[in-house]
Amino acid sequence: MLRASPNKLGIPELVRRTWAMADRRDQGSHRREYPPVYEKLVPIALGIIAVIIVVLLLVVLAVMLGLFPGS
Amino acid sequence: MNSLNTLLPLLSSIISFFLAILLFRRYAARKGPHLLLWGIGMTFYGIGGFCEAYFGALGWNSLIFRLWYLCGALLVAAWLGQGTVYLLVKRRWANVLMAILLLASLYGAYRVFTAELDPGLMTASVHTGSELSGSAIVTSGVRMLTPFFNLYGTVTLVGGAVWSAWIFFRKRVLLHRTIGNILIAAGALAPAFGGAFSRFGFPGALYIGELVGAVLMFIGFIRATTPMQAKADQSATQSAAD
Repeated sequence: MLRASPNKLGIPELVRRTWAMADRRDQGSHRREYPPVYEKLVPIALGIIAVIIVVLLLVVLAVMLGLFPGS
Repeated sequence: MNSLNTLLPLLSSIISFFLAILLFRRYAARKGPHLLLWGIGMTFYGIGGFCEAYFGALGWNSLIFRLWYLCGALLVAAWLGQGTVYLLVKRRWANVLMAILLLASLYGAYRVFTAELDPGLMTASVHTGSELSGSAIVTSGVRMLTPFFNLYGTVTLVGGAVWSAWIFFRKRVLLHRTIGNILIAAGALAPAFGGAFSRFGFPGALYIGELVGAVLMFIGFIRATTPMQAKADQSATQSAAD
């Protein structure tokens, strides 16, 4: 019974199905996404952190140049 | 304000020590130098908080001040960052950086414990004087060490966490690690942000920043080590059962 099915489908049909399965799998991996909330929040959070890092580095630079007194 | 100057750092200290214990336990179970170094870093964080609470409650003490400056101001960020270095960089390079950090830390400890101090200087600058401040160090050159340690610590700890979060986000995998790393990065930045505000004369800013930092790093660590898929599966099973 199991051996009969490839013969029934024929080689070209088997190849076509295999490619279709591979395509679906590829499309699935490209479509993989976080939940919508995180899709928006994560880049915003990373952007804010990047801005804070730049601001802090500027403050450190200013302190090292002696523009601000302090600890 | 004095009670807050004791309570806030005390809370930071307790949270930090608790996180350090979790990290050491995880290190004992799984090994990995990054866990050990993060544990040591959080212990430094806790010691720093304890010294600040001591100063808030009981006032000036030169040994407490030196411990605070060494652990809380000089070493904490760099040692936490070194943990991340072990996670992201080849072991050979991480070992080289570790050796440099160890030597620099020993040198820093020597300079801090031999420095001349004057607590009166803490109130003399724009600094509020209600918090511990490196202004009390009279000996020149000691405070110049701090930016190098903190720059290294910030770049490695925050940079490493942001980088990891970005990689996970780009591949859309391990959401819990993405969130955990973002929280860790934000937590690591909070004390630096508080310190910057404190430098501009905002009373309590440093201690608030440290507490926020300890809380965020704690939540970040728990989040990063707790997969969300399991929770999703559990709720799916629950709804199926209902």
